[in-house]
Amino acid sequence: MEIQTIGDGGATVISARGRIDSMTASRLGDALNSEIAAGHTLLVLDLAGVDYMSSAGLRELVNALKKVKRASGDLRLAQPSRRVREVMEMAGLDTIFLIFETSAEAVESY
Amino acid sequence: MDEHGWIIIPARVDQVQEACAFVARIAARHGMDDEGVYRCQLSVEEICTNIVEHGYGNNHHGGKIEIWCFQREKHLMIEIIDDAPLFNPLVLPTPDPSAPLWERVDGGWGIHFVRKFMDRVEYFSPDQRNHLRLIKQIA
Repeated sequence: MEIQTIGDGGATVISARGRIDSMTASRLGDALNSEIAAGHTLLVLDLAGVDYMSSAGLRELVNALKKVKRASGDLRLAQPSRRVREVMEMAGLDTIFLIFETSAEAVESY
Repeated sequence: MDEHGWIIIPARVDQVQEACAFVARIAARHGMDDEGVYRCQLSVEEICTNIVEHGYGNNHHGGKIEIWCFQREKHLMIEIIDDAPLFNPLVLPTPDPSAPLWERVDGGWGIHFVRKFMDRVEYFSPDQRNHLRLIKQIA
C-alpha cells in the first residue's frame, strides 16, 4: 500500500493506493495521525486507488476521525470504490463520514 | 471438480495474506465469480486476523492456523481451525452500525462482515480446537 500526501489550499490530501488490510492499515493510521499531530486538521483521504479495505482499515479511519474532530477538524473521504463503499455502509460509516465523488469536491467542501 | 486443499500458516498478521491468496485460488478454481472470491478473501482475512490478535493474543510462539477449502454440492466450504483457547466468536454481540461516532465500539466488525458476506457461518469444537466454517454458494 502506498501513501502520498499533498497540501491543497487549506486542506491536506492523503492519497492511498492498494490494499488496506490488517497488515497495512496501521501505516494509513500513522499517516493520518502524523498530519493531525502536525496541525493539519482539514484532511481529505482520497480512496480512488484503494481496491480493498477490511475492518482494520475502517478502524483506523474512525480513530483518525475522532482525533481530528477533537482538534476541531475533519476527515472527509473521496472516491471510495464500490467495494470500499459497501463495507463502509455495512459498518454505518457512510453516515459518519462526509464522502465525495472527487478529491477536488472534498477539498472544496472545507 | 472435487478439488480441495489446505494450508497451515503461522498465526502472524504478516501471514494472513497467504491464507487469503490460497482461498482465492481455490474459490476461483471451483468457479466462484470475482465478487464471491473477494468476499471469501475478506472473510478469511477478518477471521484469521481475529485469531492472531485475540485468539493467540499476538503471541507468535508456535501458534498456527489451518484453513481447509472444499466443495460440498453447490457450496464452497472454508474451515478455519486454530488451537487458541476455545472461543466461539459468533456469540459476540453484533456492533451497532447506527451508533454515532463517539459511541461506536472498536471490535466486532470483522465477524459482522463475515456474516454478511457468507451464506452461513458455523462454529464447532469437536476436538478441543476452534473450528469456524464459512459456507458460500458458488454462483
